[in-house]
Amino acid sequence: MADTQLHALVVEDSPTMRQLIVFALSRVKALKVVEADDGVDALKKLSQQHFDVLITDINMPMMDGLKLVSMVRKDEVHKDIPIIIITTEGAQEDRQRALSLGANAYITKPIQAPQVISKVKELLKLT
Amino acid sequence: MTMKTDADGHEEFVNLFEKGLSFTKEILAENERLRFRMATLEAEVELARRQSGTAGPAGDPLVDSLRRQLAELEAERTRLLSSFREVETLNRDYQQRYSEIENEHNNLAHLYIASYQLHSTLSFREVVQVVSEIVINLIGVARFALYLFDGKSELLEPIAAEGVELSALRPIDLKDPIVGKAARTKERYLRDAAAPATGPVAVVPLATLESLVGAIVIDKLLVQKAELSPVDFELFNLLGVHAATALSSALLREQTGPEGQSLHLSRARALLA
Repeated sequence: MADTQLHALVVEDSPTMRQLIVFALSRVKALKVVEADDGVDALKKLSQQHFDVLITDINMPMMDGLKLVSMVRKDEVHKDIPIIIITTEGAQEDRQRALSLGANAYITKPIQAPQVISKVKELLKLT
Repeated sequence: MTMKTDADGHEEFVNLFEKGLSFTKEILAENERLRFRMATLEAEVELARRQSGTAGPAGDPLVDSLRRQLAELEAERTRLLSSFREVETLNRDYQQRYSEIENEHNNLAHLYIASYQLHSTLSFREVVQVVSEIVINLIGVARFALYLFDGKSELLEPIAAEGVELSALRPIDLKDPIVGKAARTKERYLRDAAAPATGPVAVVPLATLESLVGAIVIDKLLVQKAELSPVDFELFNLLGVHAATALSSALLREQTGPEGQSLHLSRARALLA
C-alpha cells in the first residue's frame, strides 16, 4: 500500500504559537506534524527525515526564519519543499525578504486555524 | 476515576468538528442527487409533452395515457421542487452552523491553549513570557504592559512590556482614573469605540478571589486587527484569573527557594485536614 502520510515541520520558538499551529494542523488528517524550536533544530530534523511542508516563524533565537529559508533553498535535498512563513502585518520587509529568499506563502499573526489549514492544503494540493 | 488527558480533549474537538463536516457533506450529496432527479424528470416531462402534442385526438387511449403520465410527472416534479427547496434551506442552515462551529472550535482552541500554557510552568519568567505571548499572538496586540501590584507601596509596577521600553513606564497609583480604577475595582476597562483614541484600549485586572495581583494594560492592537472580538473578551476573562494564579504561584514558588522546589506531602495533608 502506498504511504499517503504527509509530514509537516513547524518551526516556532513560542510554545503557545507552536501549540496553536500544531492544533490547527491536527485537523488535516493526512498530515503528521513534527515540531522544532528554532532554525538549528529545524535543520537537524530536516536531516533526519523527509518533510512535505515547512512552516516557520521569522524571529527566533539561534537561527531565524530568514536564514532557515535561505539554507533550505540552497540544500539539494530540501530545496523544493513548500515553505510558509509566519509574520506580523507590520513586518513587511521581513515578509518580502522571506518571499524573495524562496518562501511560498505567508500567514499573519494573530493566526487563525482555518487560515493555516487553507494555506497548507493549497501548497500540498489537498482537497 | 479516569482523568481526561489533553489529547482526549483535543480529540473531542476534532471529532465534533468531523461530525459536522460529515453531516454537511451528506446534505450536499442529497442536494446533488435531488438536482439530478429533477433534471431527469424535467427531461421526461418535456418528452411526454412532445409526444402528447404529436399524438392523436382526445379520446385516443395513447393520448389519454400520455396525459395521465404527464400529470403524474408534473406532480412529481412539483413535489421534488418543494423537497429541493427544503433541502437547499437546510443546506444553507447547516453551512451557517458549520461555519459557526468552526469558529467556536477555533475560539475554544485559543482558550484551551492559553489555559494549558499558563499552567504548564512554575517558572516566573516563563509565566510572564506565556502571558505576553497570549496577549501578542492570540489577542493580536502591538503595545502592552504587564504590571504587578505591590501591596506595600500600593502601586502597580511594570514588569514586562511589548512595543514600548519597560524603562519608559512608570508605576501606576490605584487612584489613577483608568488603570488604577480597573485594578482597584477588579473590573475590566474597555475604551468606548466612539471615544477619542487616547489612553489604553483595554485594562485587564489580574486578581484571585483573595487579592489583586496586577493588570495588563493594552495600548494598541496590531494594525490588521480593527477591533476586539468576542473570543478576546473570553481570553481577558481567562487571563484575569488564570494569569493571576499562575503569576502568584510561580512568584511564591521562586520566593521559597530550594525548599519550595519540591512538594511536601505532609504539608499537603495538613492543609487538607
